[in-house]
Amino acid sequence: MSRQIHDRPHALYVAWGFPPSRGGGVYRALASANGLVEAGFDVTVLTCEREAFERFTGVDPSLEAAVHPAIEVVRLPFDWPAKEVDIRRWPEARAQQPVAWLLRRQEEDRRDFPETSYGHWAKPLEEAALAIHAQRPVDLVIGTANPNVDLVPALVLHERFGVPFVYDHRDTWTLDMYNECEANTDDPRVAEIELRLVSDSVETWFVNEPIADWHRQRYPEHAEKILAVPNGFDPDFSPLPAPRRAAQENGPVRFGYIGTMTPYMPMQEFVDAWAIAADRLAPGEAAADFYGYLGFYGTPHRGLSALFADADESGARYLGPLPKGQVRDVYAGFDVLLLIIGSGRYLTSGKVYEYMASGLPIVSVHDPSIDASRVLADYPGWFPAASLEPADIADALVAAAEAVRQATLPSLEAATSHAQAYERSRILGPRFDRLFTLITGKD
Amino acid sequence: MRVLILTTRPKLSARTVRSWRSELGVAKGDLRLVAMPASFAGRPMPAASVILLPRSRRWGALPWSAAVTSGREAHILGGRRIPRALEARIGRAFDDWRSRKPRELDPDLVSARFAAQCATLPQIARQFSRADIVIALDPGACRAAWQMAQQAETPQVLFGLAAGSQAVAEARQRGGLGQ
Repeated sequence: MSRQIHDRPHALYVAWGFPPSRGGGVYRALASANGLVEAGFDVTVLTCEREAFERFTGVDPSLEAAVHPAIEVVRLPFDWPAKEVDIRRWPEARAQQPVAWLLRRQEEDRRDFPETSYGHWAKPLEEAALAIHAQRPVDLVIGTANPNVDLVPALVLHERFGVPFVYDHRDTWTLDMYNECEANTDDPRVAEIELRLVSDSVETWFVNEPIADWHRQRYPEHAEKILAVPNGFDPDFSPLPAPRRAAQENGPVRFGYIGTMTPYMPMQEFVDAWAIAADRLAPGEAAADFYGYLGFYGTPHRGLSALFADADESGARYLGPLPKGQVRDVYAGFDVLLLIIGSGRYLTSGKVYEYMASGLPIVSVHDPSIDASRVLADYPGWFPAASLEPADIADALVAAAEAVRQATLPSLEAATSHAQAYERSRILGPRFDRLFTLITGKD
Repeated sequence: MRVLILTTRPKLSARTVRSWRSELGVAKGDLRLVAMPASFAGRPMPAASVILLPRSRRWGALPWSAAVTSGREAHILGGRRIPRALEARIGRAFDDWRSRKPRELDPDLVSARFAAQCATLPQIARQFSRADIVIALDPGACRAAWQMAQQAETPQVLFGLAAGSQAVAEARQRGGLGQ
């Protein structure tokens, strides 16, 4: 179907998580929507209502100010009963049989789209996308997953009107990154929909090469359109390079972590290693401060809460969530950053890039074989733990503390210049320029 | 800050209740508990004010040790008193046996019985109305929590300890509730 393209083509960007949500994927969504405007598109963002973020994921109101004023944001209601802890909002049937009610609800969620908790959003998304297209024809759709239901508008507009789309996956759907095997095999619709997404998209994006490679092998006939588009870091939100601490400066060496902590991360190993390192260092010589949410959702993860309650005496403190606006100030107070990531060779973590932007030394607390190690391999001031054994992690912690104390770290300039290649606009910009050319035929 | 926990967990121990109190960060006098255990280990009674409800009308529906402690920390409704000497001899063994082989009721029946008792006993209604936050700790306690929530606009009624801890922390941050 031939379609008339305006000077500024119309891009529909679909992201469940968008400001003011504080979720990890929000920064890519925000940068993508803004990047599309800068590349020459008129952008409509289709996302979730504010209340869902306020009630379930937590919000960072400062992020909304960063949305480009030219972007039109369309918000749809979203119901998330599995996360609803306010019993006053429950229907009576749920109060009477909470477990059975939730199981029934999960089945209903998956009826229209095979994704628990999100599948029920497929219909509202479809209707909203058709309404937006009727108001002003859409020339390009980018859907960013997770959740995968975000790709429903792309499928619908492509099928009915031939609108090209990009399948952007910040995670994976058919690959279990933690167990390194195929995922979601119990519902054949998942594989069918992913095949449609990959084969019909103009480009399919994943966040690192190992994940992109896995999908290239799965869909060899579409390998050329499967790209690794790493997260990178946002200069506006990332730490500013801070001057190195002077040798013999008083006070403990401050290790720091900022970000969401999850049960998949080797937190227990770190806490054990920290106790060993604390014994090897002089009393009060090092402290570790953790900022961020405990778990993926607004409600703190119980196991992680308990872990920090026990670790407090050894100098490892949990200090709660941090608004993005305060991140820079907190980074400026750190001497060393802790990169704690779950295991799996497909894992990079967006935090790697943000950490590199700071120019600070980084202690890696993760399986050495994961993709983050490749990204950090040439970073000056990297202290990787040889394994996840507490003794090995402790070695890395002590080495970093000594390097800070003795001022033997590589220069700040060397560290920050390594990070420049991973600035998000340098990664996304060329992709959006290419899409603009593809849609309009203009450079 | 007054927190009321509703639970139908079959096992209850003083240690468990202490851990709940610690996770919530409330003082001993500020935590109330309405429970319907099949057994619990550890004496004296938990670090909180407790109302124990019998799980069934059978003799021995309350844990033996609970019955013995009724005059001190626990306020027990129903069940039968066990002579202290007899309890000292076989009470712990009896509770252990019950916890290994609990003659468990249909969960739906447990939840219905718990809700019915919560709805009829004025002691529990009073605790509910005085609480700042009510936490239904397990699925079996949700029916009771929901029914009581229909009677008044306050307090907050939440499912799960994590949600309760967060509500307590948020309330403190807002400065709306005392320590």
